[in-house]
Parts: sequence; C-alpha cells; structure tokens
Amino acid sequence: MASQVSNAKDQGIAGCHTCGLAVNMNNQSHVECPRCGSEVHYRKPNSVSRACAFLIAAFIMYIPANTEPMMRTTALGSEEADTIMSGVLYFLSAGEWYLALVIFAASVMLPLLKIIAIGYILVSIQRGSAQRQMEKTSLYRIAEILGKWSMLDIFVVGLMVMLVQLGNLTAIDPGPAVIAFALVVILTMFAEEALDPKLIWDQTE
Amino acid sequence: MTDETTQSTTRVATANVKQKSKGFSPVWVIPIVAALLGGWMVFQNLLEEKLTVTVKFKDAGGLVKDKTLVKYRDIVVGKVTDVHIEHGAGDINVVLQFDDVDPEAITESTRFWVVKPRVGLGGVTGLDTLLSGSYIEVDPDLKGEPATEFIGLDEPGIHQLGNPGTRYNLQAYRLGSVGRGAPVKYRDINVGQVSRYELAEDNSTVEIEIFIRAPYDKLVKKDTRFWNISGLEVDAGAEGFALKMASVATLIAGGIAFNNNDESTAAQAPAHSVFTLYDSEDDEIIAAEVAFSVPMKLYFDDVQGLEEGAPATYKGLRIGTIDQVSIEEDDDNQVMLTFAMLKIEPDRLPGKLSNRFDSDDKRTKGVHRFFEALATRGVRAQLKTGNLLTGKALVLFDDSRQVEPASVEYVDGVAVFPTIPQESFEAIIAKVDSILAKIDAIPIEKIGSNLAQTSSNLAQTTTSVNEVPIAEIGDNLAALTAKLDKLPVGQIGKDLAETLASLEALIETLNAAKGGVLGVQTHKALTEIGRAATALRGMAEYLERHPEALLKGKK
Repeated sequence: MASQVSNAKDQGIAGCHTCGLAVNMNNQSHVECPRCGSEVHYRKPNSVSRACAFLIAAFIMYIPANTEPMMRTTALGSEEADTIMSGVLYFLSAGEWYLALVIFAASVMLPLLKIIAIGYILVSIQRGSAQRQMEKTSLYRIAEILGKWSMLDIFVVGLMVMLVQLGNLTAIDPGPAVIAFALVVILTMFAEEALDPKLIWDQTE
Repeated sequence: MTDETTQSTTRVATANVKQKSKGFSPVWVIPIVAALLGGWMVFQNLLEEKLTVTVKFKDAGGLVKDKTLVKYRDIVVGKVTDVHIEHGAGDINVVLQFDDVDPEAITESTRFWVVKPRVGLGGVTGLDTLLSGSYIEVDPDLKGEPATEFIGLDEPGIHQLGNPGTRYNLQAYRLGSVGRGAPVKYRDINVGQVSRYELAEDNSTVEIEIFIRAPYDKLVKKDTRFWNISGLEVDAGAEGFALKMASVATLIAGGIAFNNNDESTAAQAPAHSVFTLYDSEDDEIIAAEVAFSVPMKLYFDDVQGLEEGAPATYKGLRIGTIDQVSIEEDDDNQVMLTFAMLKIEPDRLPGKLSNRFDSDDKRTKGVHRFFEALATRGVRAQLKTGNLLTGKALVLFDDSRQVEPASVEYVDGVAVFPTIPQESFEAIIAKVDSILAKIDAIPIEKIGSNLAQTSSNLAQTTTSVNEVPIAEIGDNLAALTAKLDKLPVGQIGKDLAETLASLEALIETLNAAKGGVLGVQTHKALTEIGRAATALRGMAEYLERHPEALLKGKK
C-alpha cells in the first residue's frame, strides 16, 4: 500500500514549508524556494533531534511545575502556597470533583500525555517502525489540538493574581511553578512543531 | 522513471542551491538550560540549609504545624514545622524553621513568644491575630553564642534589636498596680516601660523587668532610685494630708518613675542591675536621705501616737525619722521603759555639718557633737501631738527653759538624748478648770441686780417726771449717773480680757493635747468655747461704747 505510493521525496520534489510551492530539489538537501525565498527541505532538518531536545527540556520543567507552588494565597496574614496537586486535592475534599477533574486533566494529565505521545512518536521514528502509522498520526494531531488547553492553568493564575489584590485582606501571588508550567506547555508546542509528521510515513515495509 | 523525473522537472520549479555547514545543533542548549533551571527550582529548598530551632512553651494555643508563622516585627521569617508535647515535662516543644535568617542572629539571648489577642488595661494588642491566627514573634539578639534550644516567654516581650536601650530589674515588696507595658518616667517623660514581672524564686519579692530606651538608659546609675507612681496616693500623716497622682494613664495602668542625685556623675549602671522599687516617692526620698543615718535613742514615759516614720523636728526643721517605737526593761529598776529609736539624717541637719563623702565615723561624730551642744543649751526632746484629728505624734527638739542640766549619754555607741515629759492631760484639765473658774468669777448676778435696781430707779424716775420740777429731775439724773458710774463695767472688761487670754492658752494647749476621739471632742468643745469667747468679747466692746445699752437694751 504505502510502498506502492510514490511520495514527493522519492521524486526529488519537496514542498516549501512557507508558501507550499512544490520545488525540484536537484539532488540537494537544502534549497531556496524560488517563490518566497524560504529554505526548502524534504523533511524538517534535524527534526527528531530538535523535537527530542525540546521534549527533554519540557519533561525537566514538568517536575518543578508540579512540586513547586503554583499560587500563594495570603489571607489575613496567613500565607498558603498551593501546588497543582494540592489544588486538585483541595477541590476533591471540598466535594467539587468535576473542578478537580478539569484541573487534573488540563494541568497534570494533558502535558504528561503530550510528552509521552510525542516521545512515543519520536522513538518509533528513530527505530524506523512502520507500524500503526495511521494511529500515530492521529495521536500527533490530537496532541497538537489539546496541548494548547494546558495553558488554561496559566490563564487562571494570571487572572486570579490580577483580580485578587485586596491588600492585607487577601492577595494572590504567582509561585515559581507558573513559569515552569508555562515552559512545559511552550516547550511541548516547540517539540511538536519541530517534529515533522511526514517522518512517520517515511518508513515503509 | 527518467521520463517521469523529466516530466516533473519541467513542472516543478528549480531550486536555488544553498550550502549550509553542519555541526552541533544549538537546539540542545534548551534542555541543558531547562535542566539547570528545573534543578535549581527543585533543589534550592533542599540545598539551602535552613536553621531549625526548638522552643519550649507552656501554652502553645493556636499554633498549627506547617501553618503558624514566625515573624520578626511583622515580617515572616519562618514557620512552625512541628508541635509536640514533651513527655513528662508538660511543656510543648515547638520546632521552628527559619527561611532566610543568619544563624548568627539566633543566639542564646534570642527570645520567643506567642502573639495572640490580649486585652489589658494598657490596651489591646495582637488584634490582627484574631483572624489570621496566632504567630510566634522572634526577638533576635546578636549577643551570645548561637543556640537551637530556647524557652519561650509566657508574656510578650519588647524587641531588643533596633530598639536600643537597657534592661534593668527592680525588686518590689509588692507589685501594686504596675502592669506589663506600664510607663517608666524620668521627670514625667516617658523613657521606657515595664517589660515583664514575676514573683521572685523565694516568693519574698516581686521582680519587675523594665526597659529604658536609649539615650535615657544613661540616666540609670548605680545610685538611681525607682519608685511607684501608680494610682492615687492619699497620705495622712503627722504632717497633714497629701494627695498625689502622676497622670490619668498611670492611674489605670500604673507606672514607675526614677531619679538620680543631681550631682551624680557616675557611669551608667550595667544591664540587668537590680534596684529597689519604692512604694512612693516619699519612701524613695526618705530612703535616699536615710541612706546614712545616725541612731539616737529617746526615752519617753508615754509614746502614744508615735509611729514609725514620724518626723523629728528641731525648730520646725525636719532632722530625722522615727525608726522604731518599742519597750525595754531597765536592768536596775525592773521598770519597763518605752523608747523611740530615731534616725538622725545628717544631710538634713541645720548647717549641714557632714559631707556626703566623709566616712561614716566622721559623720556620726559630727552629729553627736551637734546634739551634745544642743543638750547643754537646754534643748530637750519632747513628744507632741502633730495632728489633732489623727492623734499622730511627732518628736520635737525645743528649747525648754526650766530644766535641770542634762547631757547626751552613750549606750553601746548609741546616743541617748535627754527628754522632758509631754504636757500631761491633767495639766490641760487644770488649765480648763482655771478658765471655768474665771468665767464663774464674772459677777453676772451682781450685774443682774444692778440692772434690776437701775430699771426700778428708772421706773421711779419715769413716774415722778411729771410731778417733779426740772431741778429735781436734774438731781435724779445726777443720782442715776452716779449709780451708773457704780456699774462695774471696768471689772467686766478686765475679767473678759482675762477669760479670753485663758481661752487662747487653752486652745494652744489643746492643740498639743492627746489625740484620737478625745482630740476630736476637745476640738469641738474648743470651737464652742471660742464662739462663746467671741460673743463675750463683742458684748464687752459694745458695752464700752454704749453703756446706756444696759438700760435701754441693744438698738
């Protein structure tokens, strides 16, 4: 099936990443797009290693994002620092299990699943696996769409910090985990951007 | 294939060839930076060595593990990481972890206390903790060795750092109304406050810790004297009544004042020096002046009304204080002798015959010489009622004319000054009797009969006016005048004057009379007698000016 279909690379043609122009590569790996001047490659250069670097960085930042406090609430002189998980547990104990679920899904599970998904795709590309290419592509697409929603947490903290500033009465300040968490989201987006999904289909049985 | 390729080449744009050098991909810098950043975030708390100390509290109400904060002047410097009961001791061990505090600052003299709402007469404190919960206040001190075990204060303290000043300890017989935070005043200026107080270990005194702010702490010298200015002081002594109050605030919260000898150039007393807290300024002054005193013994037949602390005066000048009133047995006669021990204060003696810096021996001798001279001049000690209302007595050194010569004797180095007995009550009664006798001697009956005679004569005169010729009237008038002349107006006047003089003497005597209820009654009687005397004097004066009033009555 896949082996019978001839792809652009086999024909020495690559699409410009910027303007989409199909370019004859003239047996070169890097050429300049004659229409818009962008670089043209068959595949994104160093795709796997770049995606890998971003993914590792994202995974490293995932640790402080979860262990450090996300939000510091000062109410009437007593200060409380909440990590993501302590926030989830707080909502659970308060009986608001659906809120806890949303936070847990968007802030804990989603970034982790995204890292795992991209990591899985990268590993399979590296190993030259030609199995479940359709599923891997769907996984990539889902990760791309849902990954953005992880920023929800950052927006919530940003809004809270902005709104709840009542001086001595109550004040909310961002914790160091906010930066770490934002970096996780951004780095996974970079990783997914760096990863060329065409690579999934390069291996044919 | 070739056709296909050629076909595509014609359809597909030909690329411009571009060479690019290959090498280490800079993208790998990102995970390295991320690793460094994440590692720093996660491990910064672990790497940082946090100072942990244990504080024992008797009462750890409202302290919550991992929640209660440690504050220094309202700035969070740490938190409570553990609260547990020490087995057997009954204390509560509170483990504190400091965030970012120089371990050098937490020395053995560092103090901890729990801040919670407290309502006292001095004010309400820690109100903010009603909502936020209690917290532990740390009061670091840079002096001393670093330590990790502390005993928390039961009562809030006053910060030592950034609050220059010195702590002193006062010992008082009783606390009075001095409370924590009560002001310490120097010449009515607030210079410090009472930081805490407690019963001394042997329960004999109250120990009060005060904090004097810099630069006023320099005013506290070795010989500085402290006294209580709390509340309202009503003092009724032999010298009269006195009412003292420092300020309304001290009336409620109490207060302490201190003062120095004006010339004192001594260095500042070291921190935690112990001073005596006197009950009142009077006590303090007395204590200051009897810092050196010469004892003197006075034997009296009767010491009624004489109390410890009563003054001894010479010609109205206070020269000493009664120290003790007691009784002893005379060795030879087996007679009980009452006596008063007097503390002569050389600083008060007329002419200041002793210098503060002389030796005690020299000062004692000076005092003895002074009193020997007095005794030879005929001065004797005498008990006198100073206050007719309270009956309190004082000792008077006064010139007495008719006395046998006597001199100061010395028994075991204690001077015994000659005394004369107090004017006895019998003498006063005798004087009153003589006054009454003089009043009796006024010939009131004679005056009355003379008046009756005069009026009858007048009646005769009136009836005979119409019948008798003018000449006869003249004769009658002459006779009437002669009769009037016979009226003992002069004698009445003289008697009245005498009576008045006697009354005056009586009043004087009674002023010195024994006190108590008798004194009050005597005083009333005296007032009555005084009024009677005034009336009599008025009558005498009127009669002198208007002798005809005897006939015609008062107009």
